[in-house]
Amino acid sequence: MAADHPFVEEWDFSGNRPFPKNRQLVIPIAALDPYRMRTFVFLLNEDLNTSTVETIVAIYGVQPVRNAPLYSTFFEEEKVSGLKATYSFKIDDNSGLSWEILDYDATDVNLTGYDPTRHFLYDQIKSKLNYRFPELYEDEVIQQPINLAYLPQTTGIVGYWQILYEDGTLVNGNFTTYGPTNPIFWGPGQNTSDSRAYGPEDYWPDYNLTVAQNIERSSLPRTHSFRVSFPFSITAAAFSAIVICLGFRKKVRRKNQ
Amino acid sequence: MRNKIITFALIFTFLMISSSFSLLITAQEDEEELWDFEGVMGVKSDERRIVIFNPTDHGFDETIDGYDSPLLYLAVIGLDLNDDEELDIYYGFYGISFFDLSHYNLTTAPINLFRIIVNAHWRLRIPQEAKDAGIQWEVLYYPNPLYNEISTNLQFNAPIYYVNLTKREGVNLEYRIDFGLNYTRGNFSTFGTITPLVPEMPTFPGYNVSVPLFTKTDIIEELVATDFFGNMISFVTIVSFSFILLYVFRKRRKRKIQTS
Repeated sequence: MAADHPFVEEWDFSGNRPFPKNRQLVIPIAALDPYRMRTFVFLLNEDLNTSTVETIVAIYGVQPVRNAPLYSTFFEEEKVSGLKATYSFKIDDNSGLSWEILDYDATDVNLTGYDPTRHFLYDQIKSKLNYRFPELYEDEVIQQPINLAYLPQTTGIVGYWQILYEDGTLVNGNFTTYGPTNPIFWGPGQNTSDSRAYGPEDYWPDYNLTVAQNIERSSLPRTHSFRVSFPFSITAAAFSAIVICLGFRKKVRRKNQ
Repeated sequence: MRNKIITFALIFTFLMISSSFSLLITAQEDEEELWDFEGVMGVKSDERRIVIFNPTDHGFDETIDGYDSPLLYLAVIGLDLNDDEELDIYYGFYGISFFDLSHYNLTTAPINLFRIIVNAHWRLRIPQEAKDAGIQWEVLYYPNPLYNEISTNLQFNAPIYYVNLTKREGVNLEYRIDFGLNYTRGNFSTFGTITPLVPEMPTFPGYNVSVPLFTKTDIIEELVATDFFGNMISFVTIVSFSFILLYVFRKRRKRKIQTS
């Protein structure tokens, strides 16, 4: 449904968020993660009216950096409104990133490729969903795989997102990772703008973080709208014709008198 | 002769008007009005303050010769950068204290300097002298523990752009706040060992303290409606055109009388 929009031809994941609780925000406490990297978890399905979870998508590393270029507040609120929505996500093919599967294996320290960050992330998501979606659990393990986009690995545009609300509002955006190789703010030495705020060697941030950017927002054509399909030229021509007719009639009357 | 006078008056008026326009343009480009940041306080703006330095925790005496060792604060305000009425950016003032400096003949800014006044237009800049000495805007965000402390009181977990005012003595930050038809100007001056807070006590309090100072309040001239004859240029213009008009009418009247 959302994939029809020309912004991105084909989405990696697209599904409906029927209830507000189907979008969760995980923010670790500073003692566990001093960077407090946020993870947005979407529990999506095909049907807008049922609570069945068919796909779990997790977007890691999106930080609420207001004043970043094209910054979007859509990935900022801890709770979303009750308006049902369709979410679509795609990782940029040229970014070098790919979707990862995050499941119980991430907690196995004996497996090759064990990563404590993924382990920590899995535990965080698990504890967040535990009470809200008990049906997903069996033996305290999430039965479905979590499709993870670990965005702050490389800088630049790393992905795309789309939100289509049930009232027809469509929001398109992308995920851009900033860091030492792609800072949000440069000093005057590199800055082409008139800003005098930063020193010549200064840049920020000095670590990778991802910002959700808002590219376009529009409303789809609404079928129930009342439309008057009278073009201006036809209206003007009709008015002119009436004026000529009246004038001609007046002239004929004068002649007859 | 009359034609010459009229031509002269017209040229003079034109020159006066054009010179007034060019004066306005140069005034806007003046170095005096270049600011690092500016923003507007809105309904959704934030204003928070936390203690960042308690002297007694760091071994300083609480009171010396009747003077209380000042607590240092980090004050944060949230401003709107565009017309969307959303909070866009946080600015921080690190290391400030509202210490009374009347003995220096200086006016400390009121303690409610950062209070939210809707449509108050803030402008901030680091003076060139301070900039040359290494004072610059810094970003306070994760993983800084101080950010965790203050962000719990903020509406949004957005980065804070701040100036560490305790780094250097002297004026480290200047501000201008437009309130309706008036504006208030001031700066954040840091006192320490070179310029002590109290001249008779050069070792007090033993650490740098930045005090927000009030410099002046004045009217915003661009917003003031001038009288009909409010300035020289409009006076000369109106009088010149009146004379021209009078001359033209008299000439036409004469012609009419001659033809009749």
